[in-house]
Amino acid sequence: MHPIAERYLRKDALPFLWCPGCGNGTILGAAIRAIDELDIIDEIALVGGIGCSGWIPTYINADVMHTLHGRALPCATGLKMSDPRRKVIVFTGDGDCLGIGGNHFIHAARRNLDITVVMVNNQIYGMTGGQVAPTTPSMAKTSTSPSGNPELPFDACELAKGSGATYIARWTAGHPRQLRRAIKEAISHEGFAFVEVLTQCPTQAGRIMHGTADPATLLDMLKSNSVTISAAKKRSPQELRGKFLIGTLLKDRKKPEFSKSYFQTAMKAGDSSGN
Amino acid sequence: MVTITIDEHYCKGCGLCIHYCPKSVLDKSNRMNAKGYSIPCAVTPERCSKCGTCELICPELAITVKESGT
Repeated sequence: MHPIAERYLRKDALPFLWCPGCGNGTILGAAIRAIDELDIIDEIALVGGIGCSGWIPTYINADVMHTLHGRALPCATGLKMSDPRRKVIVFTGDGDCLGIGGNHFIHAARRNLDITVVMVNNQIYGMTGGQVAPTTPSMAKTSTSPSGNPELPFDACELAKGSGATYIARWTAGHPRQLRRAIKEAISHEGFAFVEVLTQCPTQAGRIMHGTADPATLLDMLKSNSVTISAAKKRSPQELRGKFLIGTLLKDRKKPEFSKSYFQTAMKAGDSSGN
Repeated sequence: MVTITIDEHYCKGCGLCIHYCPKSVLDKSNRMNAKGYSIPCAVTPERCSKCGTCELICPELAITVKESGT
């Protein structure tokens, strides 16, 4: 096992439960390397949702909360407010974060709560057998859309931006170096930091949507459908249709941060009432 | 001299390391682990540039690239 794993993982929880070639392991690797470079293992508090990505924190030897489906963000909110010194990092999936958890997502972003949300996007509900998700591409075949998805998907980063997030980045599981850097920036950012990671899902999205379970083929497909911001400037709207914009999409938007402003206003209220 | 170690206890034979190695150092071997996964091996370790891509992409953190003698 790689030395970084020896240092940071819970040995008794191994091996990883994910399918061969799943991007979740690569994303976990990028996250622990980011945590290692920032040297914050004693300050972090990890929260996982329900879904394959929600297992990421359970393998890390740190304080971890594995929460109910869609409720990673309210749990993370409570956790952060109980100890604002903690660096709270949430690992959630596209279904957990934008489906049942959609409401909590927009409010956590609106509040600009100082947490990092890593949303692993496989464009499907993978763990439960490949059902259509809020991020499933239009006309894609899934187990609950066998004739093609009749809906249009969310752009999670646009949703984060509209809701008020102050740091937004998107990469794929095939960009481990950039992803590590983005997670570092997100953790260091004071405010709601959202990192979307597009990932291959060999067993569900791979077989059902793309007709292959080969991880390298699927990851290559994701990478070729991703365009960096600088490359996108040189392309026409037609060329960009169906492509994902990757890179740091938003940074340094200045807004009050919730855990600070909440206690400031609460203290003021306490003073004015004579307590 | 570079030593590329693949922990066959954790490797799931996904092939990502083989595919993304820029120097084509790795390839499938005849080795199968106890779980039936086909484990890759370094066929041309002398071509390794220590870029670390295999280590970064491996979803099991099963591959390690080390400078021999360290």
